[in-house]
Amino acid sequence: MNDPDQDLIAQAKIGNKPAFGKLVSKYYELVYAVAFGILRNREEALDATQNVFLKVFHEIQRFQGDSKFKTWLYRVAANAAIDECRKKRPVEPIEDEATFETHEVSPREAASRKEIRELIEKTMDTLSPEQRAVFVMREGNYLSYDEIAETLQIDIGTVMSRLFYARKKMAHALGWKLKDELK
Amino acid sequence: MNHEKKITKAFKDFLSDEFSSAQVKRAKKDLLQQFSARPQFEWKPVMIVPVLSLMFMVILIYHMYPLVKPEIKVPPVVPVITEQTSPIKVKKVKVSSMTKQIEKIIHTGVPSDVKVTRVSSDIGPAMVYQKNYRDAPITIVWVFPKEVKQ
Repeated sequence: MNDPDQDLIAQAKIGNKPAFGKLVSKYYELVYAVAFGILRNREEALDATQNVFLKVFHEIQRFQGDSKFKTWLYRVAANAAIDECRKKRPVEPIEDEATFETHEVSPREAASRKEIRELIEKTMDTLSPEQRAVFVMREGNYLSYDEIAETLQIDIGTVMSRLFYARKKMAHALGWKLKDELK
Repeated sequence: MNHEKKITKAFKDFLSDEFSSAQVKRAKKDLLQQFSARPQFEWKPVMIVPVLSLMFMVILIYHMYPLVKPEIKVPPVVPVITEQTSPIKVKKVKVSSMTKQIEKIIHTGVPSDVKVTRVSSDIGPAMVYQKNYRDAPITIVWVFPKEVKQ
């Protein structure tokens, strides 16, 4: 498998810290996005991100190259964040769309990114950690369906259904604003 | 722009704001420092010059130290006669009975190359023993101070 990180991984395996530092620099935001998307808390996401990289560094010998390093890294990050999320505060996904609250705000307020951010955060909170993981990987990290399926070790159908559900929620929350404000 | 793309854009902005927060940037910097390269000593050929210079200096100082070390002045064991002491004034005097006895003792075993002279001084009678030892004359002066009268 042609992995663009192959050389850095080989060096990291023999204990080359700066080489692994380059991998940290390259993937920090992407791992943080997964952790933050799932955990929905900055402090916890930062801790989880750090723990993921330290764990990966110490266990990099276990990486055999069967998949891309990025995929393996995301899998470690997503599993760690989902486990942490379940351990701390089990989330009951809100299935009933009628219970989702949207703020009736003026178009001017809604135009601000802050408002949109709040709506996204509120919508994310209504999703399960697994749905959030799929949504973040697709919308934030631009992974393909196949990559998401491989990363989370689920089939593509599950990826698509979770993504569909998450998008539907997001569209419901942001729909009229997206239609009116976002260009 | 359809809803899907708008959601993607909105979420991208959402994450972009999150990444640009100072807390996230600081956490990334702290983590990267854990994997930064430590300054390790690496031998370079150019280092041979200062190393050899240092070695040369050490060897030079080791060998030169005995030559340049300061002399230690040992105070003289024999007291130096200064101007204040009265100089010995040699003058011929009558040979006393004591000096005659000493002369007799000395002359019994005195070799021919030794010259013994009796002299007198203000301090008291003195005898000068002279020998030309291997072209290095030896002179010994015995002085018998007079008894101090109370």
